[in-house]
Amino acid sequence: MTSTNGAPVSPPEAVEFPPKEIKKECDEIVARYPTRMAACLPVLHVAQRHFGGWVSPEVEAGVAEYLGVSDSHIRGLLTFYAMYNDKPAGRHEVWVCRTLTCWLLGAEKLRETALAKSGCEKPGMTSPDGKFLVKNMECLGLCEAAPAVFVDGKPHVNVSNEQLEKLMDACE
Amino acid sequence: MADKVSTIFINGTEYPFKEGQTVIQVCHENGIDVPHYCYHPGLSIAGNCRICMVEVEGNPQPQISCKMQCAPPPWVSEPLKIQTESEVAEEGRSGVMEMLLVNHPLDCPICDQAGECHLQDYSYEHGGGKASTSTAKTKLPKNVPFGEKIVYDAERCIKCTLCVRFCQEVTETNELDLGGRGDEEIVIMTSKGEFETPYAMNIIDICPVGALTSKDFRFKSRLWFMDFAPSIDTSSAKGVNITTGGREGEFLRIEPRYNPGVNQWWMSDEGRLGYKFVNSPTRVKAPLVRGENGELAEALWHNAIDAAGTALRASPGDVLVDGGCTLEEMALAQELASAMGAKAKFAAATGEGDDWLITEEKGANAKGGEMLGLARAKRASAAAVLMIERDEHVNASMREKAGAVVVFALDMEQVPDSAQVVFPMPSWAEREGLLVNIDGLVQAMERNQGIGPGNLTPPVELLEELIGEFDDAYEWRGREGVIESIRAMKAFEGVPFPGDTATAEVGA
Repeated sequence: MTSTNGAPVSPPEAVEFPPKEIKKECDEIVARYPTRMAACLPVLHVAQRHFGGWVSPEVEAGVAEYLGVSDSHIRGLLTFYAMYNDKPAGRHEVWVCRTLTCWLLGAEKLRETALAKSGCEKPGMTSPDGKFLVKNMECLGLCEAAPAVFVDGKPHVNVSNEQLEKLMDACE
Repeated sequence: MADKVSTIFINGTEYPFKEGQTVIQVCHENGIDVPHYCYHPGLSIAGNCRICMVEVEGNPQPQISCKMQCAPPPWVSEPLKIQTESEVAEEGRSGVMEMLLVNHPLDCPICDQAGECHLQDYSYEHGGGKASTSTAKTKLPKNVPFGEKIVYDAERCIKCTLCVRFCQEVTETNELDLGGRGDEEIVIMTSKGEFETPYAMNIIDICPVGALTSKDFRFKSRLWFMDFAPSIDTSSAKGVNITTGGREGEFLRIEPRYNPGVNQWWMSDEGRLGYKFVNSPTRVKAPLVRGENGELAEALWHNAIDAAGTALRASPGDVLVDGGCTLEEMALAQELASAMGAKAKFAAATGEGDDWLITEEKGANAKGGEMLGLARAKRASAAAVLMIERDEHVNASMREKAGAVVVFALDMEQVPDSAQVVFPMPSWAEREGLLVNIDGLVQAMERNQGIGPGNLTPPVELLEELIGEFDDAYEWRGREGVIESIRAMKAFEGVPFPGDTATAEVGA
């Protein structure tokens, strides 16, 4: 793996995967599919849940080893699908829609509000105090009541800036 | 039921097709140009670049020709009618070009791919020259090392996935994959950070744009200042077809050349980077003769030949040639040896190989030597004449122990103390000749005018001169004549040579 500025990064040490707490669950998922590669997405969801809401490079390497695929494939999945976190997650997650309807109805303002309120530098990053993770999300399926946000997995529709601030204030 | 349709109309002309062929394949077979980025005949079809659009008569929208079967749907009994140059097709392509260039940095003036970039070519041919968007271009990682030999620039990348598919399908080592999505999609590498495959640099050739460049060749030269010539890779005995590239005497790069019977489109990294010794600053550039003071001094060619004749008459012996010498050189070495009443031998190294393009035999023409009846030299072997190109074949201890008086050497470092006369040995990129690969296939290599010191008399001519020193009745045959006499040998009976109609395809 290489960092974005091109400096080589030493390969991460793979964690033992799956740990015994989730071994049964993972094995059951793998057994459902004709190939081990096909189990990548559900196993990654389990891994993310178990390892504190994000998939570290070490876990990534462990999952790759467990499923017999290259770790670049796992990395590709993690960075393609918006619901996986490849950086440490905050205690609360705010998802702001970035697809057309919400965007036309002011999601851009909501995003700015969420970033300013949380102190996150840009979408996809955790705030310095570790409280919030603000993410861009593809269509949340709530176009009829745009703009929509999810706070900790709960949908909120027709959200104004003030409402979003209140929602975030309510987070501990 | 109607007969199966087995033809297709392209631009009004009817062409036959084989089952399973796609439109772009039939177009290319028949010399019809269809632009393409993500299509490669040696890899699976991805259909993601969209530039190969053609018009299908009866369809309102253009379709991609790389993935479109020539066979019409089963309920259609008429051949498909394709237009590759129509307005619909051109409009589609110019739209694709515009989208590809939305985030492309357009840094052609500093890009190594300039001159062989499909993006440049197709932008010129099919691009509209205008952009409908005014948003800022995305910033993506640049100068990312992919292993030790390759550099990746994500901003130039058009995500055609040729490199990813090469690592998945040809080498099956899966080092590369796509990460991110949308305009932030980039090619990513496995965390090991190094390629397992010794064939990784092929991704530089197949990259249609300047996203993957060779660390070795980066910023060395503009393509249009370089000379290119078809040749054969001499780092192993597989006979991989290559194109040599040089400029003003300097050897700059090697790229594989398509040969379906030998290497398809590929070559090993070892062969690709195995040219450095040619650029040595201590190359032998003129004939040298040892004077009375015991020092080697430059001499005129004919004086050096006279001196070599005298030295050989005084101490005749075996002729030991490099395993990478051409068939003609080996045949003449044999004649020279028999004129002296001795034998010709060849020396070739062996090393690690794989079951593909890297052979354990390293002598590029070792098979040719065996077919001519030359013996393989053992480690210490006396010889009067030495022909040395690569150090690994005729190594230092062999050179010193041979006690040769006449030496053909590429580099001054290779000249043993016993040498009375030294002739410059041109590297393989500077010689023309025939090589027999490990499977017995005879292939030709051509001289690249842009490589080497130039003005070097080919060893074939020098060997003929030396034979003439022993045999007054010897008639000059030239390279063509030597090839004729090789073909008359029993070992070469029925062996096709380049230029024969039967092998017209080989080495083309």
